[in-house]
Amino acid sequence: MRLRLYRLDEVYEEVVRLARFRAPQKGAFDALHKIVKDLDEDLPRLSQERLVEQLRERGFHVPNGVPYFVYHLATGVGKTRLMGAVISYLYRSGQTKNVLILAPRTAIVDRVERLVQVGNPKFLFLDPMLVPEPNLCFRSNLETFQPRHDALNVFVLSPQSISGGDRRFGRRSEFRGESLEEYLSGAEDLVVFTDEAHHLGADNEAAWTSAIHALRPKLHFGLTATPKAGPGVNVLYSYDLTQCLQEGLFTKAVDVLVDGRDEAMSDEEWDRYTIDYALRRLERKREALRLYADRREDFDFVEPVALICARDIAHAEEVAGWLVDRRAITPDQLLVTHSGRTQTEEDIARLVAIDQPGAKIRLVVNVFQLTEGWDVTNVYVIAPLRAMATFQGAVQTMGRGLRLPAGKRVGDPDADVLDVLCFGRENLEEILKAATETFGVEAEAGPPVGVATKDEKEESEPPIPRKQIVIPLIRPVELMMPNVRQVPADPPLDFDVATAGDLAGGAATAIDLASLETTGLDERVGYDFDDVLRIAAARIVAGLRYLSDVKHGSSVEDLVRRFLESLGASHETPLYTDPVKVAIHLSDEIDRRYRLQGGAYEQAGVSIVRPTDVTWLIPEGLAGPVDRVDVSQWHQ
Amino acid sequence: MAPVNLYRIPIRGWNKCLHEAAAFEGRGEYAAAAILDASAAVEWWFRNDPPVLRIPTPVGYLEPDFVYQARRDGVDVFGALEVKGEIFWDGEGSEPRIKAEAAGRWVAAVNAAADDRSQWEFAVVLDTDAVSAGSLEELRKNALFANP
Repeated sequence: MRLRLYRLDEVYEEVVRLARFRAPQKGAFDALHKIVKDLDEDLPRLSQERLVEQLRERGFHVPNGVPYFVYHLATGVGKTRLMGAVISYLYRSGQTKNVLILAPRTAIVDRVERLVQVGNPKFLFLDPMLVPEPNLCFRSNLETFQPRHDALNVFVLSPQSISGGDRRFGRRSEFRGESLEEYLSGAEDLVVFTDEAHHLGADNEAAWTSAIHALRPKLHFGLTATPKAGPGVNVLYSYDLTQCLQEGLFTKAVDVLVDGRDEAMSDEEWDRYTIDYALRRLERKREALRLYADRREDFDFVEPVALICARDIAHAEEVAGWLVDRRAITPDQLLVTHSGRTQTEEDIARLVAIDQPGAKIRLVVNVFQLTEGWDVTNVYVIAPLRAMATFQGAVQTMGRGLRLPAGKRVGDPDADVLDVLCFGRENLEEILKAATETFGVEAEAGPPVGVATKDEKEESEPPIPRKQIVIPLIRPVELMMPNVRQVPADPPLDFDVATAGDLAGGAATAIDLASLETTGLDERVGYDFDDVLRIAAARIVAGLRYLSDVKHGSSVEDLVRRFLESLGASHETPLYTDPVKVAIHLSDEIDRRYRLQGGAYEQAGVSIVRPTDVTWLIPEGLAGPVDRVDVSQWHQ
Repeated sequence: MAPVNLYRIPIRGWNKCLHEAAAFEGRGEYAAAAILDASAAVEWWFRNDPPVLRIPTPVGYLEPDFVYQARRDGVDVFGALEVKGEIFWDGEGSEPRIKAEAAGRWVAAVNAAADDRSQWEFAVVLDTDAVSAGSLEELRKNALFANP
């Protein structure tokens, strides 16, 4: 029992270190770790009855034999990454080797299929060290897929396909001798994850829940930004949009810009009026982001995008046509996406690469397809049209624009704020009321979203500065100061690998690290102890810029030697541990300690700091600097 | 008078600013400038934007918002002051902290090399503290991080 807890803690530490969680993700992950620790056995060794019994004792509600846990995380906080971390944890700690990921929309299934492949920069399972070579079953290889006993089998499907939508699911495969359905329902350790899990609560999708239950999974997790309560729904962790917007840590701020419908205009005329305003906001964002990127070394310009939400396919096509014909939007700046359009590979590539440097798209016109699972960072304007132009419509669509290009707010009011247009029949008062009802009133933290008429917004924000002025230095000074240079502190190389809790630690990780190399490899490659030592040490020195062979070579070798010995390696027997992985592992440990201790400084002569005249951009309407006002007048 | 948005608009009317005008990115910075300008001990200050003082740290340069000179007990004190919004001050091991701690060591190294008549100080303060502080001393006393 103690060994089991020790092993779970080890894996927990390892995943936490690699996942670089945000606070809500960490909270959500901790909740799972606690549940698994509270069980008296690992999942494969627990019968479903005992599992359910133990969970009920802990106060969870399991009415139908399949424990169901929901993670409620606001869009932008990183549900997908959390799911990847949870799966990595469950696999590494021996809870499961069979994971079924269900996503209700093609766009999300496509994305998950890409993320689970080793080599993807956003690899779902954090690091190939945690989940080496996942054995992947996609829609494309349903029939030829071969489960393995020595790897994590990952099935990425839609709930539709397991509930009768894809006959291949229930069909016996000549490769396996059984259907996928039979394989999964026979697995002792199946864990199911449903993305956008709020769909499961809907009556017309009850078949999905039945289909999941028919597979008799050990555990079922749902991830959603909009959870639905119900029997058997255990919300494991909750971080909702209100909290998220209020804390302002992970998402853009939101300004809802209101304009009342002019009833004298036709629907088409009002659409165009709305879109023209969206284009105007987009142009402002574009200029502001360009200026911000120009003055910041750590922020690359990214083309801002406006998302226009149309009522139906015909409407989307009409809007797109108008943009091209009347607003000179070129085809490479526009992407129209809805279920009626056959998406070419090129379209999909453009869609997901929309926030990459050099991408040209400025406008996306969509119907429903993009409402979930599309998580680019450069949507800065959202314009829901027609019946969607309500506060609730704004709330439903704002999730697509909450992510931040730099992954965090940068302090610039344009780069940090998403504009959501609400040009419809609700007036400002009704919208403010709806905002209060939706998000509640938190006097101290301030309202989670700003609501203003479009005119108020424009009056309160400074015009884009385009006029260059010189602010003269009126009092020259020279600061003679000792010039200190950052020198690398001595890298920590003498830490004790045997007691470094998250490294070799003890038997648990040692076994893991060794077995990691033996999984699925018939032709195991045995290395000589000294070869591993030499190769790993050389790679560590080459990979960390503050290490030099001359100065640190022998200390690094000592560290690797101690590490290998703590794994039980000796000169007498061959080693099955890949030296490259040893190097990655140890480099990470050294680097983490190095970063924590920071650099040292040494004096190198004297330097002179000399303020000079400053060239500055100001709005065209200003003649020059403005006069001081009281600090209380500052507003932004 | 209606509130005005002064984000990055140059503002004039200072007594001790080295430049004719200075621009700010938030109320906290603006308030810090007012404190520096009103402080009896302060001889001069300037907004370090575009930066002329950059402090090297293991995770990139720290470019303090303000540089000032004050005179205390016969010693010329040069100060670097960074004003941060709460959401930009993160937990242990995060980039803002690593930078601040490195800047603290940088100040110590500069002071070790400097003569007794001139010393450096560095502080990171919260923007809301800058708005409520009555003096530079009070602001530095409540700093998120300071050395010395």
